[in-house]
Amino acid sequence: MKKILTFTLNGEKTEVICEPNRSLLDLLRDDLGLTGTKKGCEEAECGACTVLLDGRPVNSCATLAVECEGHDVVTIEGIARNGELHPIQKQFIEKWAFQCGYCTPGMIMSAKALLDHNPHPTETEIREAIEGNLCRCTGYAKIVEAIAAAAAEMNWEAENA
Amino acid sequence: MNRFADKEYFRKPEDFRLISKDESKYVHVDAYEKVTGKAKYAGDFMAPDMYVAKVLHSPIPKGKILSIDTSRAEALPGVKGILTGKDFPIRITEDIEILVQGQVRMVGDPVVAVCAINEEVAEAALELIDVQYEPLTPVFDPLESIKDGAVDVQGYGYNNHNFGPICHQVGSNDGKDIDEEFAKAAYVSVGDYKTHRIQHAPIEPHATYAEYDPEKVQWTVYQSTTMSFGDQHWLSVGFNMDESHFHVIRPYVGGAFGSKSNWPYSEFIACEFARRTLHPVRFVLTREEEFQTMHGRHPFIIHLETAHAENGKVLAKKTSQILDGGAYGVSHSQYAAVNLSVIWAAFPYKIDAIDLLSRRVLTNTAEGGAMRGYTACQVQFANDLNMQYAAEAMGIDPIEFRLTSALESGYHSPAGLIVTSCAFKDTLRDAAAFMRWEERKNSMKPGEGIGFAGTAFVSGTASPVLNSPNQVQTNATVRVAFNGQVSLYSNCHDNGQGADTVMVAIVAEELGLDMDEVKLIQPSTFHAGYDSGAYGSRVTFLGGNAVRRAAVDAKRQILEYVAAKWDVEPHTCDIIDHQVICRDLGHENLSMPWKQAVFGCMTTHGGDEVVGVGSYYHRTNNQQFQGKPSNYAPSYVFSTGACHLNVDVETGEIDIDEFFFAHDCGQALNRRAVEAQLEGSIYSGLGYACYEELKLRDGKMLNPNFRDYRMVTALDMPHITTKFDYPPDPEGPFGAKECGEGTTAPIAPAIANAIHMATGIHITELPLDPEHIWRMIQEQKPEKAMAALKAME
Ligand code: FES
Ligand code: FES
Repeated sequence: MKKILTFTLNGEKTEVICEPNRSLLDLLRDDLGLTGTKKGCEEAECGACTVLLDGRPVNSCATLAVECEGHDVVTIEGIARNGELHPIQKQFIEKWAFQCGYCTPGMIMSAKALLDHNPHPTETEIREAIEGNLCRCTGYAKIVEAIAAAAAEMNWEAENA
Repeated sequence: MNRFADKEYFRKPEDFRLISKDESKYVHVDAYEKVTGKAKYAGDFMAPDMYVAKVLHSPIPKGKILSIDTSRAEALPGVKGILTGKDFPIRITEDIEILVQGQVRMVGDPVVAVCAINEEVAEAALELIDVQYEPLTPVFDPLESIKDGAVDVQGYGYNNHNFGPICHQVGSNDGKDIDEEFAKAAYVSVGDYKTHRIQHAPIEPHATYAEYDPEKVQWTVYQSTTMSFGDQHWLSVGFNMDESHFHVIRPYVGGAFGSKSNWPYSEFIACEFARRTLHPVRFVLTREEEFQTMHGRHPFIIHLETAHAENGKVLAKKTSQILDGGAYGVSHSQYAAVNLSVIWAAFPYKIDAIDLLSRRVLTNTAEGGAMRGYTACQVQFANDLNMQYAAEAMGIDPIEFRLTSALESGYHSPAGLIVTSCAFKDTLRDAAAFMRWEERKNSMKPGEGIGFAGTAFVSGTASPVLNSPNQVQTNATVRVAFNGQVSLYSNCHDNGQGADTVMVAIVAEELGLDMDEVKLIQPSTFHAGYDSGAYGSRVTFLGGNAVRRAAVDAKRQILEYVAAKWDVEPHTCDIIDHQVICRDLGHENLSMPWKQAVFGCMTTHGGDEVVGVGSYYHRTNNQQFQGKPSNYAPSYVFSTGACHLNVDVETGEIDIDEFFFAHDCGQALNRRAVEAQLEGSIYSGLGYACYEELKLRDGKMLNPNFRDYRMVTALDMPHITTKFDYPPDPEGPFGAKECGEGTTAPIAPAIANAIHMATGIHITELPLDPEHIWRMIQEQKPEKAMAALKAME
């Protein structure tokens, strides 16, 4: 039975009609047109579909849309503000931390979840945070560098605010 | 301008503003789209009235289709169409049908296709289809399949190996006789090697979004492809209609590694359902389909013998290589697999007498195909281990041993390969220096090892895939509008490696502009000229040369106009930072802004726009496909990989703490992009060597998913150092050569050689996961490993 789902999506109250077995990933991509969140495996293994649910990174392919009732969902489309890219996005560009870009949205969301909770991660903590995000192109080195640089930039901004 | 264009208008190295400058305005043209999620991949296209397609695959490795009952699926609400091989009898090559009609030959063969309003309905419909098979006896082992009287895989009465691709190259330099070379050898090294099956597994699965316009009789196909003109061509063959009916658009592609230079069944099925239903149709492969049906890396069985002189020099080489081709590929591009595997066997050493045989054998398993470093990863694994063992047996330092025979500029191989720029020896020396080899080689702890491996690869290919004039591989056009705006029309295929960026950079460099002033026109088969695809490490070299010529052709017209005004020779002028300038003695003060020069040039030509065209090819006589000597590529690249590691001899686990990679790619066009390709190559090679393996039982894959098919994560990667400062190539665009494909090949042998040094185990097979290493230690009980075990007690 379809139901009306109400949740916060990228900062905005959103109401949408939804089947009870719809995955959050399909809801975002096919019903709401937010195709920045990618589908790589649909079995909770690749991390391409990572979004933030109440600030925690989740695989949206393995999350039922109805579980988001009343909760807060943030996708890659929701992290730039007023046309300005998030520091993680900026550093991904600066460090060339992507090639095909298919893992990139999920990677950036995992990185955001990390830095929101741990502003001073070690290299190992960064690697642990993106362990569930598979990248087939880069070898991860530039991604790790970009996340570390974003942490430094965010800390500098916080200290000088 | 074509391949033989007058190069006097080409940008001089001292004037490079973008190329290989650390602090330049070189930007990644896809960056914004990719970090914001705005980049659209084929599976991201959709429409409210869109349908989806799915396929039912064969569950058995070989059998006759007795009956197909689709009636229950047809009755399911939401189902919009069903196709079997009888309704859609399309065969694009002699052996490959889009939907199998008579006999299935591997698990995963597509049998019935369904079109429905959404994925759930399509999946439910597949469950309702009943296909009855009469199972036939399959053959899985290539060594069985190659025997006389073996099961006939194709079922057409072909012999499993004689019909399919074979390449046999026999030849020598200076009239040498191979048997005499073996007879006079101080040492003959003999080895048997085996490699396993893996998959490209791009994170973006193959996706098609197809629309059909009945009035125009025209399809628009968004395809995750690295060969859009191949898609267009084979669609036209399949549907028996002219190419002009198929507009194939290559959107962003989420990685390919060789897997997307095909024209998958899903594309044809989506197009047919779009035609029948007049709705857009999307078909995205599942991860399991991706593993089962998208032709991964060929498993190899290799026997090789090398003859060595007293000083270790390679005198002669014989190999017999068997590729497990799976069930298909007897009549199409798989000739490249055997042919290339022979080229690699002739590399990267000077070998004056060769007898190299490769055969691609059919079995009732998933089809093998092109994958990053097409067959080089397998062949070079065997080659290099064989060199290592020979060096050891002869008591010669392994670096010295490789240096003695290493290829150099000017060498003509009996295989026909002509070596132009070559810094192989430098890469070997740099790797040894980085690893402090001389200092450390005699002071390793038990369980500790350093391994080196040297390999070579092509930079570009002779094959344009389709029949093209002069075997041209890329046609590019640069258009300059009256306001100075530049548009680049190029189909050079970007699969994530950065082709779009490099092509824009080449035009901006030649025209003295910033990269954001050069607009790349959305690549598609209708909007820009031919590009044969992203395969054979050809994009930067062949495509880049064509794009460069198009830019220079436009530049020449503008310089001719300005030079006439100034009364100087046009080739003494150039465009630097938006100004036309003159280098002629006494005229150095002349300058004219870019926009003014363009406006003036067009005015003098009656208002005609400035349009530059460029093309490039590497032409051969195609003899390589007959096993005859032929110079396959316009240039070659050379690499040495090296790693330092420790082996836990109790568990077989390895810990690589340092990986060094030296790559002769000529002039790096963008240092970060080259570094990124090398890091990606090490990732890919490490996965092949130690993590990934597709396991089969009775022809069925046991682990076609990301849970059971183990891939390298961010936590598994070693620390990496790269070096790629070697001389420019005379023919590459701005001196550039290949990077990122062949560079996967030295990783596995470097790791294997290091494990060998650490433990003493004699390695002949991949993968080198802890279980295999542990088993080899237990079986071989080599002294070193035993000492390491003792030290742990
Ligand atoms: S698509 Fe969700 S984890 Fe792969
Ligand atoms: S950039 Fe291609 S998968 Fe990560």
